[in-house]
Amino acid sequence: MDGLDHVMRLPDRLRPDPALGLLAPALLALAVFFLYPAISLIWRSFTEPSLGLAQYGDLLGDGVTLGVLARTLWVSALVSVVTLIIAYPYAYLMTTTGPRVRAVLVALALLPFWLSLMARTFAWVVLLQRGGPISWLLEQFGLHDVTLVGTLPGVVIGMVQVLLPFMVLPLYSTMQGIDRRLVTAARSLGAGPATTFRTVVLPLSMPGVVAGLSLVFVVALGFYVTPVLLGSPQNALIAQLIGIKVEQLRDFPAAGAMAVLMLVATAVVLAAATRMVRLGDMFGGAR
Amino acid sequence: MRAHRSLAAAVAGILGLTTLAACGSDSAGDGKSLTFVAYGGVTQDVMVKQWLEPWGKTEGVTVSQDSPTDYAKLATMVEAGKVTWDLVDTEPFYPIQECGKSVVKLDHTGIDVDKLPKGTVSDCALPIWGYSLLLAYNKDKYGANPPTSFADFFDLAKFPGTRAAPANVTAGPLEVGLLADGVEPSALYPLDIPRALKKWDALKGKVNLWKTSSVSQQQLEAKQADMALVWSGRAAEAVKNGAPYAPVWKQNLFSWASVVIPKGSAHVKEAQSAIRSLLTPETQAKLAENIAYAPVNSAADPKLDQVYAAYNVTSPTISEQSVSQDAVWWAENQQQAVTQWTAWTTS
Repeated sequence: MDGLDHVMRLPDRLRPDPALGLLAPALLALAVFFLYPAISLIWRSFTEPSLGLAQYGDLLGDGVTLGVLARTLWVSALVSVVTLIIAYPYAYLMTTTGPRVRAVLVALALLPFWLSLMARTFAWVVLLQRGGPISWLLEQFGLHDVTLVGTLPGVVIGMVQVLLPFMVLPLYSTMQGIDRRLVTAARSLGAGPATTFRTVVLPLSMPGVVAGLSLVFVVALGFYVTPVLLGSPQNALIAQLIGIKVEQLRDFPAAGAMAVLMLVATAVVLAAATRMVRLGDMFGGAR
Repeated sequence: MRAHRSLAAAVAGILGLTTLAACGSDSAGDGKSLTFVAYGGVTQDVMVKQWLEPWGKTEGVTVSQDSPTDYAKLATMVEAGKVTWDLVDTEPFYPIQECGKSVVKLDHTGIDVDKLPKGTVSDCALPIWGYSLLLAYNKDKYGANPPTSFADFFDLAKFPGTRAAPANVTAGPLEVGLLADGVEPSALYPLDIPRALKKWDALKGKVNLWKTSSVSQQQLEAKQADMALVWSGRAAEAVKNGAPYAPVWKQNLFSWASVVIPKGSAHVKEAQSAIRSLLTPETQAKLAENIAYAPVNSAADPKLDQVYAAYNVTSPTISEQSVSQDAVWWAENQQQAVTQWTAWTTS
């Protein structure tokens, strides 16, 4: 909140901050290579073939877009939650171990960033396919002929692995800031491990949880390669639909309209989520 | 003040970069060069090695490459008047749909079009090579009682097992559905899309749809699909790599790669010359000997090994069983076919 106040106070000052000049190259690059194309695509969605909301009407009425949009939001939410469940204990472990183990854990968490997304996704294809190692493993537990490639669980597994660092890192940085003496104090005042976790660690790590969840959720919404390779059209996400509009139909206005629908839906979900977390904070007394 | 100066420097930098980029694309107009675009991978390698490099050597033209073919990118280049592609491998419907719009008319002189398969030649298009969408089945799985037609592909009761098919509608799933439903090949076009989709309902949720042909080949080699609709070239390569699959040639759906010249290309003359070289019996034979795609010039006499010969879809034994895709129908109906197929596949 402090940061926001600072920005909002800026117009009061007579002279602009000299540091803004340093931002100019980045802002210009963003304007030229991101803002301009994005705005022109959005503009075309409202103006072609004629001025108005015809593109949006078509999309909402085609019986496909809304369903895929809902699926994209649901899959992204699911991926965010699964990622959180895996990353939380991992990040917590990173704060409690010695420097050497921590270095290994950090390296493992960052490893996916250094490998090509394509290569990793193809590795999942091999692992998850019919008769592959995971199918074999499930066979040992009496689950026969499980093929995860081409299914929603397959897509979720692949996406969770790719997005794990986006959850681990914000969680770790928040948990690292938690004063360990609070934990000791709670224990010395008679709280058991579960109570200590619930009343001290969990509330204090909430900012990291929220940051991780929103980061993973937003990045997951735009996933393309992983659902294409690990899923099938039956579980296509919105990026694949936008891809078809652009690549096969060369319908840029409709693609733009789809992107805007996605943007609006994302904003609504994030706003709702933030509201809910604020309420949770009030009851949990985190601040 | 200082802030202003760094802002000015940044603006100058950006302007300099864009000017450089603009100069870069202009300078490609000098000298004899040609940029060829196809779908990448082994197919593009073979085209370049067996056709464009020898041609470029003889004609003194430097050949560069880009991939993959992207209709949206091509349309954007033409719209912006900055065309860096000179010769592009496309699907057959595209040059008919875009003739005079994003691709130019081709000069047919010096090309023996009578020797090319019917339907492959039009004002803006000539074929590169031929292939078919066919039914391939796992021999080990079906043994003495193998499938014999597209109808068997949809019959899960009689032929239980996993299925794979193309996700891309232009590859021909609608045609396969209609032929399986008993439509006569002569009455196939115009395609009855609702009827085709109704046939596909039998496999709803039970078919693995491949997005790229390399995935289809992987599905055969890893025995992921007991029956698969795949392109003949990929089936042949999989069989060559030891996959236990056999083809069903009955009503195989013949299609081909088209070559086009984008509107605004700075090297139309070179591109035309390359196309003339492509369609000679010699180049056609060399291509077919190095990859399992069929020659389109009937005068070509390639020396093929056993597997390639068995999958040469323009050979008389196979082509007499073929049903040819109608590129003209596809040019007119691609949009609605894509829209309706996408609605079926994504729900």
